[in-house]
Amino acid sequence: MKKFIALFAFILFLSPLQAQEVTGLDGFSLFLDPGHSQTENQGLYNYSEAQKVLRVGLALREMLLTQTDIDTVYISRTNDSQQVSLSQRTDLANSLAADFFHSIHSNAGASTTNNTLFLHGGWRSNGQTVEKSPAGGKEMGDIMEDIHTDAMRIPTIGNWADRNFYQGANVNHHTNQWPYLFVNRTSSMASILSESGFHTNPEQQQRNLNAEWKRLEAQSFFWVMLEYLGVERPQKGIAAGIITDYDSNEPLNGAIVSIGDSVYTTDTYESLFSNYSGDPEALKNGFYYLEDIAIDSAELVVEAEGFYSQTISIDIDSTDFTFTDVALISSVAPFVETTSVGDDNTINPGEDLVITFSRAMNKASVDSSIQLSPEANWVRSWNSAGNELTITTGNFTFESNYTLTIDTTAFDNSPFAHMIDGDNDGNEGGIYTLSFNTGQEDIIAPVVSNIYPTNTRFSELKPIVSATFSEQLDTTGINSFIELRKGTYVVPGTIKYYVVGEKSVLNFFPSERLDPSSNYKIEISGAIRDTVGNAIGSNIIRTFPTGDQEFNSITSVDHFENGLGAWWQPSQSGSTTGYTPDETFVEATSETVNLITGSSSAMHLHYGFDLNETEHLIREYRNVGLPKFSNTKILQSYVFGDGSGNKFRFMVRDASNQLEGSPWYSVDWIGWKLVSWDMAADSVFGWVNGNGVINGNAYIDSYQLTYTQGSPAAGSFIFDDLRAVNQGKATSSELSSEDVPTRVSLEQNYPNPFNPSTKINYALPEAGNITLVVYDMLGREVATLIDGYQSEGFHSINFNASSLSSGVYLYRLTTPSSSVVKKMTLIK
Amino acid sequence: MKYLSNLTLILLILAVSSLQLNAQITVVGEPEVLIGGENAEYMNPRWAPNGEYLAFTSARNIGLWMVDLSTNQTKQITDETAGFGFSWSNDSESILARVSEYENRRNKHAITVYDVESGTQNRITDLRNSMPAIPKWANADQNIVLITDDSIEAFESGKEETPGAQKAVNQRFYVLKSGSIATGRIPENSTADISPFENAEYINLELSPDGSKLAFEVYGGNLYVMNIDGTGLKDLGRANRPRWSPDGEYVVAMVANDNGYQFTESNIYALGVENNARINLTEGTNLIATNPDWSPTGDRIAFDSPETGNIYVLTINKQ
Repeated sequence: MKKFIALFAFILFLSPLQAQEVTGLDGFSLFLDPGHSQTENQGLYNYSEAQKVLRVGLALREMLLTQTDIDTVYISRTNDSQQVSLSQRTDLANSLAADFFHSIHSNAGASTTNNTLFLHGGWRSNGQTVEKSPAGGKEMGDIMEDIHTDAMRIPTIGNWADRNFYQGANVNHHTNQWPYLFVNRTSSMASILSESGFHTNPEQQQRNLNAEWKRLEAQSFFWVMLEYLGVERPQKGIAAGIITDYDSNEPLNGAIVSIGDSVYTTDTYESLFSNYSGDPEALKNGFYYLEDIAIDSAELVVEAEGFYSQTISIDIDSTDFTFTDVALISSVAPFVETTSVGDDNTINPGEDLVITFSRAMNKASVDSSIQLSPEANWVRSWNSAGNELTITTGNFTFESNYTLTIDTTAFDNSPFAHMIDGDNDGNEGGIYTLSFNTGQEDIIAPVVSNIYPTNTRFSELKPIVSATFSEQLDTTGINSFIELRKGTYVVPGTIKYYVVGEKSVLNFFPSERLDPSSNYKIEISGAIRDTVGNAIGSNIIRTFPTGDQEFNSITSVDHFENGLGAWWQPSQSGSTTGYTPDETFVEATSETVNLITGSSSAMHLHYGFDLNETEHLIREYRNVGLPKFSNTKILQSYVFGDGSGNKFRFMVRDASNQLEGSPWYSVDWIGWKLVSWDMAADSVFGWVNGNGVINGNAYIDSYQLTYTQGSPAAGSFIFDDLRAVNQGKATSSELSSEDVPTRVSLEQNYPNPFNPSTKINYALPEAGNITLVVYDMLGREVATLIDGYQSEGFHSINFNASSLSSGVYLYRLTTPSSSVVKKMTLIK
Repeated sequence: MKYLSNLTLILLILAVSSLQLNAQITVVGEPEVLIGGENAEYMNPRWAPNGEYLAFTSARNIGLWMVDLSTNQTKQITDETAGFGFSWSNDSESILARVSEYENRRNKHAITVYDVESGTQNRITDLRNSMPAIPKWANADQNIVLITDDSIEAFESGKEETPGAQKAVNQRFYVLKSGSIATGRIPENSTADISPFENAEYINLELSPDGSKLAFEVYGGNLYVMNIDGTGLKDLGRANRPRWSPDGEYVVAMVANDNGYQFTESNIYALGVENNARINLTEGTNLIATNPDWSPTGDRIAFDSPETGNIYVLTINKQ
């Protein structure tokens, strides 16, 4: 009973038909291991690490088999459909008894990071770094660091003993005296794992898409292998480089590069990039690669539509790449691309007026040609690239109209000195004119909102006190801006100020645990003022009670103090969809951290949603299945919100290997906040193979983000101290006399007016059955908020009036001994 | 115990017990460290057929060790690179291995039989530049076969005949040959391909204790069992490194997830050969449990963990 399985032979032996140009590899067998499988480890533009490194491996194998007398080149994958586990890779290499194991990878990280890295098996032992035996991986890595890094023309972070890299090189003696990486640990032969650039770096990944770029990487590994075996390189002429636009410094699509009869056209949307983007302008690499060029002096000719062609004399190297980058100069006249004047054609005095030109300008020519009417004192400055002019407007008059002109004598900084195309007709000449208004003077004080904590369900005994402001603040005297008190006792702590968009937030981190079942006051100083001196005026006081519960049995899932090694870039997950790659990435941050736990590092997740797509999901995946925690626990994370209203949720994988998620949490706050998901009591939502039930112990799979209609498309959340906890009776929970109110009280709801929810605080001197009911002005009951037994102390409840119409409502607190009524106003 | 809290242990027992009504396999207690210590870097435990010894190697397959389970005394058999694919003789007195030596950036290999009692070694072959196959015992351990794409070789093992061994002469052996499953007899200079799938490659072939079935992995695919005549093929799902239970009713294997660099989790599963049981024996532990082997007595499963370098033993109750 034979049945077809779509797997292909993974062993290829030297073809006797190929000419053997290079000798000295006889008796040597190499095991190539393109890392990962199928489309795993997605990089930018939906092109995965697995796809890229497979092609590098196949090209390298082909070079070795056809150009040398090597005995055998094995490879762990030959196509994009195989799913090969780590154990199968080294089991195969070990059973075949190869002489060297090379695992080929590319790296992931922040979009601005790009380098090479090489990891051989090794560790620290009694103050010395020890290489695994059989040795050879270190020497191979040293050669790769030199040759392969030069080929990629990016920085390197070196060739490391793998355990030193992951667990510290300054350690005297590692606990585990064996290689850190699986392939180094379990392979019987010398081994190395190479990381060739970052598939999360836009510039690198756009090159990775190119087939010949992968040949370039393979060619350098080919030379590495020869050097490792003490074999001289054969002669081979290869010209390569990047063609860019002189003005923008961006790679140029469709440039034609030729040396004699050899011609290469850089990738275009039609030839390649349409497979990875729907935007014809989004992707560019400018890469060219001309192989088998005569080893001689040559004329390199570069042409592109809309640019002046260039011819450069070069000498082709006989045993290395001949790199020549060319910047083509546009034949189009310069023009003003954008200004910082808003859509309302208004700029507020004090804001900078920024004018961006299509290319670098001759600064003196612009400075002498620019005029403002009516005149005002200003200061001009240029960016280093010379294409951006900034004008200060602090001396402009409020609520006026201005006209700025640049006459025809301004010209660009290219060797061709093109005159400005001021009237934007595509030709040199014409005066540039910008008319705009100035805005009103700011006389409004900051508006305070979202004062926290309130009486929350998950009462925290070390809560982060938070107050949000409608604009940026003058932070002089910040340490007196917020005070947290119990009676006359002032709770010590640290105040931090953060700016998020146009708003700002003050977070106060108490340095000691608050007393359970007590009443605390938050006092926000009336001296707080905006950057132009508008003060709030009077102090704002809020009270909140602490509960009698606290969190205990804390299982730390990730405190983010050791970096983000366990976390993928969002683009690496195949589930991430409907996002903008350049804006979506994760990085460690030490600037904005949760001081409640003494944190010094957190995870900063930047997101951008593609609003042309209908599905939006960013999966920030954690690739370590530990620690496991009970499904009876509360999963928590401190989250620094951007106030966007976009959502996040927790996703866990349970004992049935099913994915179960929390409700979505709308991030409508800015600053730090603790978010809790009671896995036993709150809703659970199955995802992919999940069924809405958490079975047995679980571990974290991911944070997930999605877009909320009408919210900003881009922003960022910061996560810190991901943990699973229990909630239990707090120690020292006895109520002191000052914690028990002496009389029934019903506070004015806050905020008021409100839409659609508000909070009502009340106090009970003794326990008993009470009611809290809302009525309309005709006396009709519209909501019963409480009807039952309540303990003595300070209480709070939220009222959501989303189903009611605008108007004035009454709310009445009735206890066995009294009744209190207050008004509130709903405005929709 | 270091590994499990009492609560976790209870949950583990409850979780496993709930699966036992059909499978009739119960985990007893927690995994215990059999071999460990500060410098432990051990892996790939293999029980001796008499159940009295357990052999294992270390990271990079360097060295062979043996623990006498009656005395808990451990001794090193060799410090050579001999730990990948080693196998016990049926009399539990010898270990067959392919030994590798590194020279001029190239591995050289020789077939070697170690006498575990005396520590002496018998080099069956000289060092060779290439040996892309694992040697196997054949003919009641009187022979050793080495089957590659290019050659079929049989060697005298040097082991004396034992009573009953004569009738086993000319018995079939089952090996991997260039990625295919092959069978043959020593007098015949050929093998027959009994691979169940076309265009597939195979690794980690294991013959059942009664010699009637084979367990194997499809490279890049799942774990399977089948009868030695190629019938009765059964897909056991995603799992690696199969080893048989002594009664042949189960295969124990590891089910691991990795991120391309490390295992992110791995558990030991008992996989029913005749039923559809798929029992996680290490659920509830925080160990990354790998490379299991079922004891000949049937009541223990040894495994390793790449994070600790320890060899563990899990006691099971199979009814």
